[in-house]
Amino acid sequence: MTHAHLQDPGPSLGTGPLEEGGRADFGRMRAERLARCLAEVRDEGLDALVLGDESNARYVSGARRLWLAGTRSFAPSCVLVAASGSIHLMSTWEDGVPQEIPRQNLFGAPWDPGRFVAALEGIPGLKEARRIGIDGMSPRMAALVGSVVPSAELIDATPLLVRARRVKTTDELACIETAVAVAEACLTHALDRLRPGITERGLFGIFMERLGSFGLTIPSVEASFCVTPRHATSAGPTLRRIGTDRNVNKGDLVACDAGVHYAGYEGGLARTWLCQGAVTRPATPAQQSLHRRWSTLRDALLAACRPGRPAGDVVAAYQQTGEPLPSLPVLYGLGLGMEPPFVGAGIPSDAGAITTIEAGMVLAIQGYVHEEGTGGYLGRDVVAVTGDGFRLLTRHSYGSLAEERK
Amino acid sequence: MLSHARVGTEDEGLDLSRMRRERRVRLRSEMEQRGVGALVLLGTSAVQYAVGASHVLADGSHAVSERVIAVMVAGDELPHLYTPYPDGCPTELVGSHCHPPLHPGSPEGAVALFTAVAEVAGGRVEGALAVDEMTAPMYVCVSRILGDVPVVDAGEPLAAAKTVKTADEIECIRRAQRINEVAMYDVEAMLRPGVRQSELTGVFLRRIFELGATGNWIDPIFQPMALSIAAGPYTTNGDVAFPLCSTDRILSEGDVVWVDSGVDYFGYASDFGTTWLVNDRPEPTARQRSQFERWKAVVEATLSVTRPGATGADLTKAAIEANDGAVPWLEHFYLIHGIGTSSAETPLIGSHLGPEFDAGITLAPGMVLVLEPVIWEDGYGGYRFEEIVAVTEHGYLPLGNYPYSPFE
Repeated sequence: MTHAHLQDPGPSLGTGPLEEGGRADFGRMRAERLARCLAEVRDEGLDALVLGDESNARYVSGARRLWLAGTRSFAPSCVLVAASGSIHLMSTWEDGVPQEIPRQNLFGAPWDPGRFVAALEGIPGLKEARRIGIDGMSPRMAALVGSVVPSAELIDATPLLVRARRVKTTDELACIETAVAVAEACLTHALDRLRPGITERGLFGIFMERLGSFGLTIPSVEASFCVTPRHATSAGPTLRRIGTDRNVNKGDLVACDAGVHYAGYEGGLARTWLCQGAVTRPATPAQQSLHRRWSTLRDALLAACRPGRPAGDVVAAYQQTGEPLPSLPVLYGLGLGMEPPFVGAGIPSDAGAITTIEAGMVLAIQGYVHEEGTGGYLGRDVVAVTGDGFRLLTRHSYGSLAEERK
Repeated sequence: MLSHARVGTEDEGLDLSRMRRERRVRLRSEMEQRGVGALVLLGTSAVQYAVGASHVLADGSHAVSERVIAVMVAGDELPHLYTPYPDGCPTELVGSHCHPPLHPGSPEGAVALFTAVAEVAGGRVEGALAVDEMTAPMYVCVSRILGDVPVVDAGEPLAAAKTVKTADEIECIRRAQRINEVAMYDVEAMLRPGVRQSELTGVFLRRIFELGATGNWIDPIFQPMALSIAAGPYTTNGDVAFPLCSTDRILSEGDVVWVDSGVDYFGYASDFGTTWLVNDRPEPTARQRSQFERWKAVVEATLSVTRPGATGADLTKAAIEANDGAVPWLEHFYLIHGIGTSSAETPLIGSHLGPEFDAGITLAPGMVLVLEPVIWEDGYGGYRFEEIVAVTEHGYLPLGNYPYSPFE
């Protein structure tokens, strides 16, 4: 790792505004995102987008709506009309809705199919649309949309949305960097309280309490502190991803998978930490050797994150280190949450491996190594791809495992 | 006396494997009645109901990028689970019914999903294909892979199976509610002028995970209410704007805060709602107290007719009469919603589907209802609290126990 990968991000790492500017400019960010979307929509010859995925809707509209865990039920909640560029949003109130979306473009939630159809029919330009891009919805909603635009062709808009979202604007990058820094702060806070007897979920709770002190409340993934199993079993995998209420014990290696949202943008990382008592002891040689294996792996993955190369190259890079591919994506995109490209064992190549890495993309690379009798090691770092390489956004230490025994 | 110990995982009162088995029987029966040959579930709550895998609640972007998918086919007692979290696979599915994850967000991945469905259905789907959510690539390729099988919405069979809960499901909801309430004592204790919404959320989340919650469903709401609708944000229906997202907003002396939250316990949601006062010494005014009294009268009147055989219309009628003929709930919501693996599910009573729809809902033992009447006096704010009850053989059983502080 050279210092060129660790440029100073300047004053951008903070959640409060600066009166002179210099942090994310949200108005500019929304305008640039919408422009990218409209350009893709018009290139594809689409007349409208009818979107259900919350992150797609947020990209197009900039609306901050109530956060709910899990998948949304795929009701169209955002409509973009190509000719006018106007955005129509499912929101009963204007709170959280950007000022450029006028009140008359808001509509309520679709408990009642009749009202929902009426809301769609009231969107100027939608009924006349011939080619409509969708990202998915329930069969019931598809039937309702079909009743409003019976002769329109419904087209998979996922590829164009992925293209629009793939390369980040300056402001998007600032949001992701801030989210990474906050996630690292929350992780530090939780790791300070990693002691024998605490529960895995308890550590996540402590992580979230620190998040609140930054004025933020949204995690990317929950309960992600897991004791790594020392032994592989015939029945069970050696990688645990679901935190439980089990206690962490002295000597356990704890895989910490942490992420938070800032203005909808995700930043996160994974580190593996040794649970110790009040006195910090050096890690065992076997534990340090696990860290060295991750370190080698990480350097190999980072070396593959170069503009112009297919994202799928990280798989070969992973395998060349001799480590078996884990049941996790080994590379994925970051933006308004987790997004393509997705690369890893069992992931279809059209989900990411064939994507060419470009400057301006933000990528997470991760890996898991395991040593029978010692435990496992999960690591993840985030890079912003630059014109000639990358800039490392994750700065958090690797702790006692990375320290050589004196 | 409330216990501050962690709420346990399984004991005599809860049998998670029995719960999963009983849910599968219901779901299979609904499939058979509707001629559904394969049920394909992609939604977090629906998969949770069909499978009962331990899960990781996550932002929607992760939930759709690393999907947990369930497929149930006619003639097979067990569902197939496709998951990136094999450590959460229920024991009865390990081996033959637990598979690596599928990725239906891309064209190749959508083909792989329907190919897997055909495979577990023994070559082809006999009857209808019921799906809860479809990605755009799934719409493109479904008939190419599965032939001209009719595609129907899984919402109906799911709702029919989910509406009446088993004893274990009710116990999960009760425990979720308990964790939610115990955590809120700490939040209420730190409510004072100058605290930020996000700080309240931070303490809440720390406490629920200490207490044994398995997740959190909703970014908790701590909304200072404008005293009149005109003074609040514009709404499309002219009603009170609620719930609005929390931020780093600083709460101030005199704020009347409406709270809403929901945690997860083994797939089941709680629903906690109340009204708090942000004051150096929280003491309701006479008018605030009268709003609360009216709210209580509405709840008591509604509960007095809550028993098996009563219709949704009986409940809305009782609530409206107790409020002197005015509708005591928000226009964009309802008087009552059900709760289970979704924080709001059927039955919806008092929604704008209308009185005829409500008259078609008949209460049955095992339904779990959240009553959320709102008393609003424009210009003077209002009171809202959520009462959660299970319908029993002869009436109802409260599942919550939080005091109406600082109103009594």
